[in-house]
Amino acid sequence: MKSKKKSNKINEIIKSFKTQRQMWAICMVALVWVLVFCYVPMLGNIIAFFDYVPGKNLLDCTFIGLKNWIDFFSLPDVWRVFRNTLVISGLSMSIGFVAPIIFALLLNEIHHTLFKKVIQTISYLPYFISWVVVASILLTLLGTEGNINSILIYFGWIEKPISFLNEKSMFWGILTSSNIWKDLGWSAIIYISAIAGVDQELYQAGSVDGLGRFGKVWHITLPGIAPTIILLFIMNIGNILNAGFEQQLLIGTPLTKEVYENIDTYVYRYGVQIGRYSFATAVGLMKSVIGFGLVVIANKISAKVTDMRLF
Amino acid sequence: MANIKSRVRTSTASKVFDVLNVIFMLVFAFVMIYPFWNQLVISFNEGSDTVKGGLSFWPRAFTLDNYTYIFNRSTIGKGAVISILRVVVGTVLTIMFTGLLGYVTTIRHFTGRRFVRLVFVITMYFGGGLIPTYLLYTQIGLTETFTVYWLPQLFSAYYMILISSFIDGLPDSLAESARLDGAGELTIYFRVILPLCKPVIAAIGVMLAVTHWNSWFDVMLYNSSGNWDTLQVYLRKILLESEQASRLLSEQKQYAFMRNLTTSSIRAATTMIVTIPIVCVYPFFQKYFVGGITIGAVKG
Amino acid sequence: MQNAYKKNVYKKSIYKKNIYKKKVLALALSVVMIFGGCTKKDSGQEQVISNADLSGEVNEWGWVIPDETLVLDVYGGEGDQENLMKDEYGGKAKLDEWLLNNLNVQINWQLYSTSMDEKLNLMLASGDYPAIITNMTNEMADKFIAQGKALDLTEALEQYGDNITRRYGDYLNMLKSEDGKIYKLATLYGYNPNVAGYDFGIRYDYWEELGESKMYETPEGYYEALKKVLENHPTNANGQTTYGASSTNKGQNFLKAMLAAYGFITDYKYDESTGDMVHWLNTEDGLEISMLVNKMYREGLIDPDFLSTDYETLMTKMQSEQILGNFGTWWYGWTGGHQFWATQEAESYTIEKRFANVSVHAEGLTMEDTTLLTANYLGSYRCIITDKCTDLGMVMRYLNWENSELGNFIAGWGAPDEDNVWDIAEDGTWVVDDDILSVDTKETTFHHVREELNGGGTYMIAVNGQWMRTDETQNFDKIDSRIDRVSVYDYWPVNADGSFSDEGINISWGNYTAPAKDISMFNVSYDPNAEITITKQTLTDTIETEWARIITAASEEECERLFTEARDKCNALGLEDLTEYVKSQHDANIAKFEGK
Repeated sequence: MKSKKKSNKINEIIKSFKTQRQMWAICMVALVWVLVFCYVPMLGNIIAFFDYVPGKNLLDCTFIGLKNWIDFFSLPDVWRVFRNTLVISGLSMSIGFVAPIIFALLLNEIHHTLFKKVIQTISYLPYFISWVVVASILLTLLGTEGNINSILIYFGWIEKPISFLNEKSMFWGILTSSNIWKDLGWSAIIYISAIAGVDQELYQAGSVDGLGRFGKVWHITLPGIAPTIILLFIMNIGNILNAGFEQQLLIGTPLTKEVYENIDTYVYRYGVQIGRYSFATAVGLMKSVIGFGLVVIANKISAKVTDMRLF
Repeated sequence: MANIKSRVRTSTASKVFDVLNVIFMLVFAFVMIYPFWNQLVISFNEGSDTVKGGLSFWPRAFTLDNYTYIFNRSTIGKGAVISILRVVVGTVLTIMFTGLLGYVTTIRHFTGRRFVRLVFVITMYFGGGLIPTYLLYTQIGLTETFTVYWLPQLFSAYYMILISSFIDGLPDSLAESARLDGAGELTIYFRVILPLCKPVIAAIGVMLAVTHWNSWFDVMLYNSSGNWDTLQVYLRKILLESEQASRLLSEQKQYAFMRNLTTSSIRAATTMIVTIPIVCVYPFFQKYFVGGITIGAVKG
Repeated sequence: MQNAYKKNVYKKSIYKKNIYKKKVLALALSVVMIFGGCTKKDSGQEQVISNADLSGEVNEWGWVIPDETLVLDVYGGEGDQENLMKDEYGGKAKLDEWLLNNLNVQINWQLYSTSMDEKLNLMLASGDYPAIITNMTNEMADKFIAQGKALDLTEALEQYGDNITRRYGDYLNMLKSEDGKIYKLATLYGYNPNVAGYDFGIRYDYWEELGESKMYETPEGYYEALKKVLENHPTNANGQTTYGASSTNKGQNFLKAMLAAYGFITDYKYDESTGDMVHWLNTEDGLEISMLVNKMYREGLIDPDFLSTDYETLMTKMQSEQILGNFGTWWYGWTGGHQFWATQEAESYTIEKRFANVSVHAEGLTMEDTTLLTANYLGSYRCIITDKCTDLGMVMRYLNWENSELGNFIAGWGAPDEDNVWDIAEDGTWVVDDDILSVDTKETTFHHVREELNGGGTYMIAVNGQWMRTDETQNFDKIDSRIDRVSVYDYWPVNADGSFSDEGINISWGNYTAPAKDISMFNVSYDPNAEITITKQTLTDTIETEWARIITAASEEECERLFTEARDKCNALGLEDLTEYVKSQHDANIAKFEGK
């Protein structure tokens, strides 16, 4: 039965080449483009299975199969590294995901247009500040003689300064807050534009139905931008193993290494820095597979529950 | 009529919320802008004075030296022109092509819909890596060209998804009636759909423009000769000096290098040169999706 | 109208088909290329046509001028190519002209702004690289050699490289590969020209206040002195608490400096009589060192933010007088100290206000036993000549000239000229301009005139980069006797009695008495694909974390406990194996050096 369905589908597609010629023509351009610029380089991932060194002909390299992955999982602390990665991206996928939405909704409630625009412009400025500068800002703020410690000591709440940047328990909080501060305004742009796309007449209809302010947000705005939210969430899930790289190296210290070391910094140390190119590729491939797998699952769930799907 | 009635009905809870919201926004804005403002102040302050610390809201030793240093260093004008060209060409082309693709994947009766979306979504998670991509570009002659700035970015899976979800929100009747009138898909896209997508196009336009404006790594990699340097590359080279210094293995070299290292003042100035143009151009895009124009549904 | 539209669509689809075909072709091509490796199969040992058998007269510069201009394409490292070509002050152009007129040589120097390792990997993969590559790491050089992309230099050295062979001495053997041939040279090699290495520095003016008769000579003495100084100056002008030292590399500088004072070489104690090596974690000295640094931290001598400080922040803290010592890299005390204050405070500046570089030795050792000042004769960078070179003989001739005394000097100092900082006098001495004998002008005028106006240092392919002095391998008697510690980078004006002309420098370096140690035999290389490389990386990471913990331990007992924990942890991770490996590399180096 299934094979019949499949061959029917393929027949359908081939037939539609004629009937839906225009659409296929447009897609052809895109498909050829994606083949050349995305899928051809993807073939390069094959070096993950060989002991490839740049410059060597691939056929000259020995096949090592799954060795790179076995090596990766036999590295010390690899599970701790996984834990850190999941925690950090978990935080950014929960708090970090919701915050821009809430901000967009709150901003939408501002009536004064000029004020709204100014706030919105200011909100994305941190996006342009590099992590190097952010790290030095954090030092000024959280250092032993930083602002926070000075205030705490002044009010007598603590006697000795707290070394915030060296505390394992605080690292995830500091990192997530910095991430949110930096990205919130920028991520909110797409939500703000989605809100602008909600049909104004719906609001009027809502008033007639007796919806208050909060009701309007809950019953009109949110459902209106729900597709965007769901799609962005599904896409983000695929990035679950990408938990940042620069920030960890700049904000982390040896005393917090236990909680900041993630897959990317790990691979950098044990792959790129030593020159083990095929190892680094292998781990990257693994991340892609896991990430994409999760997206597929999320997509299926979403299709069943909300009827929205990525593909 | 209905509007006036609803306005009269605003309750005290609503007013309280408004006040709190405004206060929140003000505090929020301060937190967001203060570091940026601080960088602005540092960029206009003498480097040797900044070192002493304690700068906050206003420069203590005002100077334009940091900026003149950057502008004197290189033919920054040419870089600016190439940057602007890249931003305009890259953004416009990507929106056109990706938007078109996005639109096509919203056509419900199109059988290839899911297939095309799947093909592109995969590319969001699987990549080739530096060396295969570099080899590809070298083989097809994309190195040392302007084309490498826009051709490999022509179709973006991420933006395609966003645009098609927005188009999905538009009534089906629009495209249907145009189709019944005999219009081809291209016509429908450019005449009917695109004009209605102003909010999402404006938002994506801004994001694309900023990405193009900020990119420097691909320039240095593929156009390493320097003939197609963008503004960002000139600025990056200044910032990279400190990274290069940390890679130096010979102590002699390190000392010789560190003597001439650029200060945080210059770094602040480069941040400003990169960001201020964006902030200036931004309002033109902003009006399409923040307040002001209400994009209601267009009937028929 | 419908038909016209259909026609357009049809035309479009043909057009698209053509692009489609082209793209498929390009696609196929690139697939083949990726699998084909796109490098031409090179025989490697092909005999290159050499025009190097020149029959001409050796000119005043020690060079035989070739009939055809010798063009050298060099990938010189990381840097701003645009800035180089812009040549703001004309120095490069001046040197280019001199090279063309006097040697008939043209050097095409190429810099790229991307990381050199990255760029080299791409070059290897695409097969697109120039004839000469210099300033590359040893690992990258070995990569090129392993793939047969670097030419065998052994014969060329024998024929044309007499200066090189002379000045390397037996060290040249250490550059040999497994097959006994030489494929790489050092970019900068030779004796360390510095006076100071790892430093236990202190604010000289504040130390003077203490009224001590002698400068401290041990780490404990350092601790005592710092403590007293901090007591006298608990805050700086801004009201900030003062500290004795900080760090830019997560506290590693404290460790390295202490290990050096105890005579360790790159983390290991080497016993000459038995040939044994032991890692510091496995020694009692290691515990002693840990306890002392921890004590310094607990008693407020070390900046509590030392784990989050970077170079710029440290400079700020030193310049604003918040940090009153310099425990680690010697020149931090210079850029963060008197070099800043001298320019900023002009009139009110006194030369005593500087960080003195001080050498100390552990109790029971002498200054000669320490390894504070070390030199790796072969340096950290390598130079190779690739298979893209069309005339190995001529290139070797040039490199040989670069390594002659005169060529060496010109490479770093530019051509002799009355407008340059040096010129050749009637009697043949290399006389320096009187102007540069003042240390002030060294920082500004000297570098400006030498490098920017005369192109000094623009092209250094494979030169002796360290101390130019006279010994068995070289003769630099011609250099003006008024300067000393001359290298391609630097020099120091001296008085007739050998002391530095500048009083300030005498203060800075007067208390640094550790002699230079040659640690070339302790060079270790790690093959990327070997197990030991991963072990080394794991241990480096672990030690970095453990050392930070040790320093910040809350009490003596905890410090000792953490040390023992660290020792056990590292031994379990393979520290013994690593020590064995380092030892074997050391022995192999010696064997190589002796020509076996």
